[in-house]
Amino acid sequence: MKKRRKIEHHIYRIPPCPAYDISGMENWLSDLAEEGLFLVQDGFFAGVAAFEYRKPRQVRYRLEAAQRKTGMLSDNSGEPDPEQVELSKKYSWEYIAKRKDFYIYRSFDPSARELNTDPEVQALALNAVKKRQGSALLSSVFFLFIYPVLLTRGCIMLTAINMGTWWMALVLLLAVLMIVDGVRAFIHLKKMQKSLINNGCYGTESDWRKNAVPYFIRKTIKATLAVLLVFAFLKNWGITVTNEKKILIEEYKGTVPFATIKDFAGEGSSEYTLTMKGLNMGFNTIEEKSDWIAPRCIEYNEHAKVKNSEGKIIDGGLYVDYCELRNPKLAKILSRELYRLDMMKKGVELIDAPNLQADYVIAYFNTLRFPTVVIQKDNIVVKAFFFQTSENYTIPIEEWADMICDSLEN
Amino acid sequence: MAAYVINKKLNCTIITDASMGCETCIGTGTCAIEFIDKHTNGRVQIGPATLYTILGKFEKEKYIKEISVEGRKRTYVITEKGKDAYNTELVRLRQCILDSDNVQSFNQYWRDRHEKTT
Repeated sequence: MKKRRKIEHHIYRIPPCPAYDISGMENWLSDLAEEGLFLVQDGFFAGVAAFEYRKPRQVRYRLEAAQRKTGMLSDNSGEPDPEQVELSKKYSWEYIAKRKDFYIYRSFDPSARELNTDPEVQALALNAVKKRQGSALLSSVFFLFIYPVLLTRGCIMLTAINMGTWWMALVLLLAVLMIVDGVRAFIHLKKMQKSLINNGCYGTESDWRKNAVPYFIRKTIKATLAVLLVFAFLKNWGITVTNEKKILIEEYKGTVPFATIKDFAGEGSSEYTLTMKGLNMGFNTIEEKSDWIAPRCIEYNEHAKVKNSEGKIIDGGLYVDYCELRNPKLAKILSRELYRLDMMKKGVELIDAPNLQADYVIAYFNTLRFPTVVIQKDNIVVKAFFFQTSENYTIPIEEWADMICDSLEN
Repeated sequence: MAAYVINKKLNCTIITDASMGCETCIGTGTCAIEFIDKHTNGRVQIGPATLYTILGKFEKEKYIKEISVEGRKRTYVITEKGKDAYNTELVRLRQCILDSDNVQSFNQYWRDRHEKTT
């Protein structure tokens, strides 16, 4: 709070209270004026106030609720009506700056009549700000909670795994903090309005010092979270664009915990070759990741050709999403989400589920008409589809799904 | 709320019409404040922010409408709806005074009668 940095004779301070705390803001600005710090013209930018040093003196600051939106794209760039500014000046009130939904006026004349002479009319003016705050709150609830749920089609678990559980928790925390702040602002405005009508004053705590610490803590947490999330988003976006985490199957050093095309051919298979190579489209790659709720997740895609012991050629592409979750309950939720997400797409057709030794099995043709199976076995969930291009031989879904299911036990 | 505002402020603002010899012109915000100050001998003082909130509300309620903008000055006229609201409020206020006078006469009557009997 006491931190100050001096650039071009200006002193910069972060306000110790939100804009809607009218009496807090007025007192803070007046207190600073007594210390010799005077708000400069248009001195609010990005939540920071700019001051200049002058001889300390008593000044009255007043915040006036803006009747219209104050954004840069609003009428008159969100500035107050010029006639009103001129009239206020005539009565010794100088327009200084705006902070969010409030215009800040200042008067050096102790005998100047008040800017607002009627508390009930002031309550009426606050109504416009309260309405805008209410709309902003509803928009926030929609865009921070409802829209993401619609966008992810209610697949919370899948989103958490893709996004990272801790990152998702941070996003939720930030969203909750923003909503809580919105609700606080709305309630504060409502209380002020009521008090203006009933008691003729704001009726709220006017000592900004008391509320400054909690306000700064909330602001710091929000700013830190926002910076962290932007950083994480950019990093994640960079990784997605460059496919940094994907490695070629040939270069993978670990062991894949499920059956693959080579296993489908059984013992005595030969002439195994990866196909679709060199197309640089992410074919024949494996991506392994770990998350708090899903300690091991693998995205696997293999395009290969292999001859089995009977000389039959198996040729095709196997796509597997494999997840080991913390417990079977989470696995159960994830398996249903994977199925539900696909079923929302057009052209998906359910088929008879193969009889497998698993907790949950569902099979369907996906949008590309490839046979797909979702298997949940204990804490493991696998979604796999296998398309085959061999002219004279096709492994039925019952067989390859069974092989994948069996391999999960191992 | 609108009715309340009319009660407290519209009459003050609209006083400017007749006295200025103009049936419908309220004038600008500046002249409204000056006029009210002058004709109430400073009893009713309206702050600039209060005046503009009221003007905004009246415009929204269609009690007044803006007729011209010269530089920074806007001129408003009172609408038929505004006149009706004003007259209704005036009648209500006169009735209040009348009721008050009646109560005073009634009290006086009982006071006189009480004195006679004692």
